[in-house]
Amino acid sequence: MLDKADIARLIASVARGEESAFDRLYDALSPQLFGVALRIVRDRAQAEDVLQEAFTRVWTRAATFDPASGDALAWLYAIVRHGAIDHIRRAPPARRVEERYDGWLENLADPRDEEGALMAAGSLRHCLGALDEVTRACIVEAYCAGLSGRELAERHARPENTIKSLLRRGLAALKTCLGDAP
Amino acid sequence: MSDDLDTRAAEYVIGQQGAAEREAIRREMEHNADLRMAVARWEARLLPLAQTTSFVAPSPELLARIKAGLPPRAANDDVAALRDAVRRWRNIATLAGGIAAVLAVFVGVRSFSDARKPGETYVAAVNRGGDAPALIVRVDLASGRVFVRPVAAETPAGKSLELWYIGGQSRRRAEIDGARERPRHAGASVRRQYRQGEIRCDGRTRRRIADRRPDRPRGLCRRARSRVTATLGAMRLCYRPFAGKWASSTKVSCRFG
Repeated sequence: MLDKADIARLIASVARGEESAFDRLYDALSPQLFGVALRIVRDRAQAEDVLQEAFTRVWTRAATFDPASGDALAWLYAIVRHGAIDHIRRAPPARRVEERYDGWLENLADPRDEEGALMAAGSLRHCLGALDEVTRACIVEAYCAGLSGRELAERHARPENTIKSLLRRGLAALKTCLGDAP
Repeated sequence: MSDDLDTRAAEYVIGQQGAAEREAIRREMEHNADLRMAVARWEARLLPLAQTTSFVAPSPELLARIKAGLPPRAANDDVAALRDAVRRWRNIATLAGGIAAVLAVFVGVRSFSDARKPGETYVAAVNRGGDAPALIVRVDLASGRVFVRPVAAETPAGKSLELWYIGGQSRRRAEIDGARERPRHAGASVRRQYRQGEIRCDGRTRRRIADRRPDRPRGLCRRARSRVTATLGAMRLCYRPFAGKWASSTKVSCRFG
C-alpha cells in the first residue's frame, strides 16, 4: 500500500510525463477512488466516467500539485469527489432522500490505516460526535453522498435555510474542535 | 483568514454551492492563495470521512479507456515550462490596434505516446504583450482537436476577450466570457457563430446534448477541454473589446461541428 509520500512522488513523476507512475497510481488507488465516486453518483457507468475525468485531470494537473500546501491523498480524493459532485449537479440522480446512510462514522479510524491517518480519523470522529445528531448527519451526508442543501432539507424535514445555518455552525464547531492542524 | 472566506471554503468542500458558485470558487482559487489554502485544509480535515468508503474495483478495461483519452503530454498544465518556450517566441507576436491582435505562435511538441495516433501537436501561446502567455492553445492535427486554456490574461477594463479561429472557409469566433453578471454564461464559454448555426457551451447546450446521450455524457461542452473538430487552417487569435470580465483561470471548452 502506498503512503502519502509515495503518492506525492508518483504525482511528481506523472507531472514529468511518466506513464508508469500514472499506472501505479491508478492500480493502487482506483478502487478507493472509484468507491468515492460511486457513493456519490451511485451508478457504475457514470462513476467510471467520473473516474476517467478525474484521472485525466490528474494527468493534466499533476504539475500544479504542491506537496508543501496540501496532502497528496486529499488532493486526489478532492479531484474525484468534486468531479462526482459536479456530475450529479449537472444530472441529478433520482435520489431517495429517506435512504439510510449507515456505518460511515463507524468506519472512521479503520485499524488498517497508518498511524497518522488513524489519529486524524479519531479526532474527526470525536469532533463530529460532539455535534448534535442532525448537524452531524447533514455534514456527513453532504460530504460523503453529495447531498445538496435541498436534499438535506427534505431528508431532515427542515427548511433549506435552517440546514444552511446548521451546516455553518457545525462546520465552525468542527474547525474549532479539530484545531488548526489539518 | 476571514471567517467568510473559510465558510465559503468549507461549503465548497462539502458541495453546498450551486454550479455557478462552485465554478467561481475554482476560478478564484487559481489566484487567491488564502482561499486555496482554506479549501486544502478543509479537504484534509474531512479526508478521513471520504476514506470510509468501500473499495470497489472499476471495470478492468477502464484504465485503457482513460489512457486512450489522455491529452498528449503538451496538455500538461505545467505553465511554467510553457512560459519558457513562449518567451523565446514572444518577440514575433504582433500587436495590432488599440486592443491588439495577437499572433499564434506554434511550437512543435512531442506526442504523448507512440501508441497514440501519429500526428503533430502544436502549442500556440497567445500573448497580449505581457510577460506570461494569456492563453495556451494546443492543436492536435491528428484528432483535429484544439484545447484552449486561459493562463494569465488580464482584460482591459470594460472589455472582454475573444478567440478567433480562421480555418479554411470558415471563421469562427470563440468568445471567452467569464462575466458573473450573466449567469447563463457563468464561467467561460465558447460560442460558435457566423451563419453556421450557433452552438453555445452553456448550461442549456450541455443539457440538450446530455439528453441525447444520457448514458455517455462525454464530448459535450465542458469546461475542462475544448474540442474543435474541424479542418485546421490558419489560426489567428485576437483580443477584441467586449463588455464583460475575463475568466482568468477557467479552461474554456467546446465542441464544434
